[in-house]
Amino acid sequence: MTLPETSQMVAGRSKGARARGRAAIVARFLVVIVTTYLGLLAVTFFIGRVIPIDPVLAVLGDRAPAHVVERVREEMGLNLPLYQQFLRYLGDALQGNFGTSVLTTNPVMTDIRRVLPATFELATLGTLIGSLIGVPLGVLAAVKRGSLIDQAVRIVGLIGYSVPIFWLALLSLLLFYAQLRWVAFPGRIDVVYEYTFTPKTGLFLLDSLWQGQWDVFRDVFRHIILPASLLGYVSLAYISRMTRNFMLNELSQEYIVAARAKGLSETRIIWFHALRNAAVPLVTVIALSYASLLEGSVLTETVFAWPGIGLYITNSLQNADMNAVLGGTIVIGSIFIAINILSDILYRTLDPRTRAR
Amino acid sequence: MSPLLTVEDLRVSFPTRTGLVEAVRGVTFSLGRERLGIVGESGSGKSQTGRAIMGLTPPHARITAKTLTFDGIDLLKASPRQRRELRGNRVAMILQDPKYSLNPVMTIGRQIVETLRTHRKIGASEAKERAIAMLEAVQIRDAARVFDLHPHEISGGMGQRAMIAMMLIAEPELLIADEPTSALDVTVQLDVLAILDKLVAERGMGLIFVSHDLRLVSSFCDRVIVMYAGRIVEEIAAQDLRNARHPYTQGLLSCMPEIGSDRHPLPVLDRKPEWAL
Amino acid sequence: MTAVPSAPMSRRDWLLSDRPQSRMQARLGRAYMTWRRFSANRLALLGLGILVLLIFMAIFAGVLSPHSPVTGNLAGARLLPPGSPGYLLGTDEQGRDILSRLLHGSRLTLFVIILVAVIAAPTGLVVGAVAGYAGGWVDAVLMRITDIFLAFPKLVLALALVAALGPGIENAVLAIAVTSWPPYARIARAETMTVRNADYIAAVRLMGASPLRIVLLHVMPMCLSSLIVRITLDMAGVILTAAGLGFLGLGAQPPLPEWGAMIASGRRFILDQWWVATMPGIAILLVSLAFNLLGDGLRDALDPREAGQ
Repeated sequence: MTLPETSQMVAGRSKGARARGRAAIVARFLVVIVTTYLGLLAVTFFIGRVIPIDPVLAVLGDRAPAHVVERVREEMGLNLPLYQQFLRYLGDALQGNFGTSVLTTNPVMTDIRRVLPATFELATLGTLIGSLIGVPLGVLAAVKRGSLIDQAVRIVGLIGYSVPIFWLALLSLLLFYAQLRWVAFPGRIDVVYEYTFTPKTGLFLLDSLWQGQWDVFRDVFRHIILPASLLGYVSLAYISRMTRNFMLNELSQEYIVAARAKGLSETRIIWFHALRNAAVPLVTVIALSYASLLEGSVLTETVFAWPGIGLYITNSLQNADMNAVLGGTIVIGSIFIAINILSDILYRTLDPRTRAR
Repeated sequence: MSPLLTVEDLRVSFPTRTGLVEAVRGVTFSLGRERLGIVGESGSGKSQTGRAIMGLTPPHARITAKTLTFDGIDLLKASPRQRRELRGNRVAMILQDPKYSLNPVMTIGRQIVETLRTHRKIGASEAKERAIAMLEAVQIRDAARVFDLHPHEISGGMGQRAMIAMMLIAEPELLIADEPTSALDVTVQLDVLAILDKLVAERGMGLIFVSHDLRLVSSFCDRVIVMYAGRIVEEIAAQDLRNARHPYTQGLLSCMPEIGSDRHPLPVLDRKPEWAL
Repeated sequence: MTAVPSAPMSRRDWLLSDRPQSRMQARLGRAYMTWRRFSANRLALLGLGILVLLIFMAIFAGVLSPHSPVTGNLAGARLLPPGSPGYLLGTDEQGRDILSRLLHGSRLTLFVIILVAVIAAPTGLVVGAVAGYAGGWVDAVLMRITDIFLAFPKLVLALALVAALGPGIENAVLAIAVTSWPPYARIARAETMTVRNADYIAAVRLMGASPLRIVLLHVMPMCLSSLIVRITLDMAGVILTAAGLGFLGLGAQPPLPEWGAMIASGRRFILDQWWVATMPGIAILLVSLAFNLLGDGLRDALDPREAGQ
């Protein structure tokens, strides 16, 4: 006796339920974004306004004349009760107003807009290097588990986990710049080109390519390749290790046996069936590593004199420019939140099981 | 007529830290275009026998046999490539649980088409047509829609039908079904078995039906092999099962409850160490 | 039942007995099994060895150091290369012996690690255990806060915090601790949720134990082993963060021989006197590596389920 299954048994849920499910996801995302951002601002408010004994001093330094101090105190609303201060702070921050940098005398947001593309370019290239090498390495290590390749990947990864990046940066400068002369002096572009090259997007590699300035492109490349490779190495360590774990997990699944029983080649089984499944959690890993490279820029950019947000923050730190430091913190924090949300969305689109749930 | 599959003194062993573990220890049988059941408890080597024939044992396993031929092809001497060309094409296998044995991120249709296009030079649209026809053959209604669904969107019974479709689409001559209904709801087990039965009969395939369920196997197969601790303890035609000689088979039979008889306490399966020798 | 014959037993058999006579024997037996799994892993043993050496160095830094870590020989021993007589690893720009500074610096490293662990781990453990045990809105609120902290850029936040608090090693520790408790809360909550509904917790509850007692004495101990693994692995990162803060001049202040700060001061001489910045970097790398190796080994030994390696 055979009962053909009815279509309701297949569908599982009606269209209305699915739409409601989608609305619930959007609502949850909104709650997460709003509370996380509020939390970020509360913490920076606490750091900037509550911890310092005199926030005005923290912003202006101790050399400011008395009438300026009084005016700034008024402007910052420090005479108001704390909760009103926080509301004002909130309003300002939401409009992207983080005050003025003492060091550059520009609004902090203007400064950050100027330096952000440099960091963005560096971290993106680093993540690209890390993923394009790290994922295949992790796959190979998992497939040839226990082999020499596996051991090598493990050791390369362990060192990448454990090495102080600023130190590795110094040593690599010593080797590749001072000794071998393979790369350019720290910085982003040679002084020669600073006047002949007008970037549009702020991403020098793309800009020079777009404008067909090959000599500029070569120079930019010689500047970026070392810091990007270092960041790439750090993300490679993380990505290859996680790829290996995910692949080991997938390769032990029954659907792999089924794929073999179908007569598929090992190449297709590994690089298509298993990797396509491992890619679902890998997206989160790559996103996290991208975020950590943005943050790691604080340490690498100082060594390579890379004019990005990391260098901006550390320079401001050294000059006790609190507005700039906190503005930078909020911007990096906001990017973190955005990356988290994006990776979550990407995860959902890659995994059919979580789609529209 | 020479048999489709000849297995003589098949041994499968796994080296472990504590020594060699022998999962299959000298199994001999041959198979024509008939339905053979292999029964045994877990760890008896029945699944490993099936996987060894498919060439799906893990790489560190050691496989030896006096003879292991499929349609005159020596499987032990065949290159990995030759064996791969057999798999899914002339010899196929159905796994236990469709929840795990279907790739969760691929649609049902793509997985079926993949088998076909691996073994036949055939265009995409024709492959799709044939896959949908195959889905209809395993009695899935609305096959064109199911074609585009992901495994998690269909029920277990339907998943196993899709699995059967995926494995039979290239029209193999031998099918190994490894506990194909054990993970399914009791209510759909019979449906899936009926479909399997019909297709095997229609297409004249040889079938190895691996199961722990003696009654199921005896009602479904022509011949039954009973395995214990890696060896065959009994080989018998299904209708003669009541006359089984080996005490283990008798034990298995007497464990099955019967309607109308009140047997308390139910007998416990006896396992004598000398059977494993 | 017959009494177990008191035949002479080897210590190993006593430990591996599957019929322990006392709670003590059972515990020791389990510890022994864990140790056997752990010590089968050579790299983990290497990690443990390096850390034991670090502790030894920290304790006996005063005796082991051939020179003072803070005052150098400005006149005759500036920037000597490694292998110079009396200065095994060379000297820095103030004529200070790098080896002596590294030996004393190990104390600062240990200070940071221990303090961060002591502040962050219990905080996370309490937050997670309370959230997991209480459930409901307490759980929702605590976990939202945890997630918010998890979504922050840790290093940058620590930087901002130290910038506000003022540079110094204590503030660096505080900043690192503030940013590193959330993962522990997550782990503790997950473990608590799994044991919360266990029968033995129900039994304790029936006997009239207060929620506080249940959480403190029955739930938290169950979280410990996964927490220890995580802390060990995290310490590698803590060392790197602390060194990073030191490198940026926000951690230990001169003339303290903090390894990150030593790299920063050697940076100026990197082209000609490479050893000044290189030596402390090797020390950081080794200790961080040791924690990673030890953590991997502990994870495999304490939690064979999770052993993905």
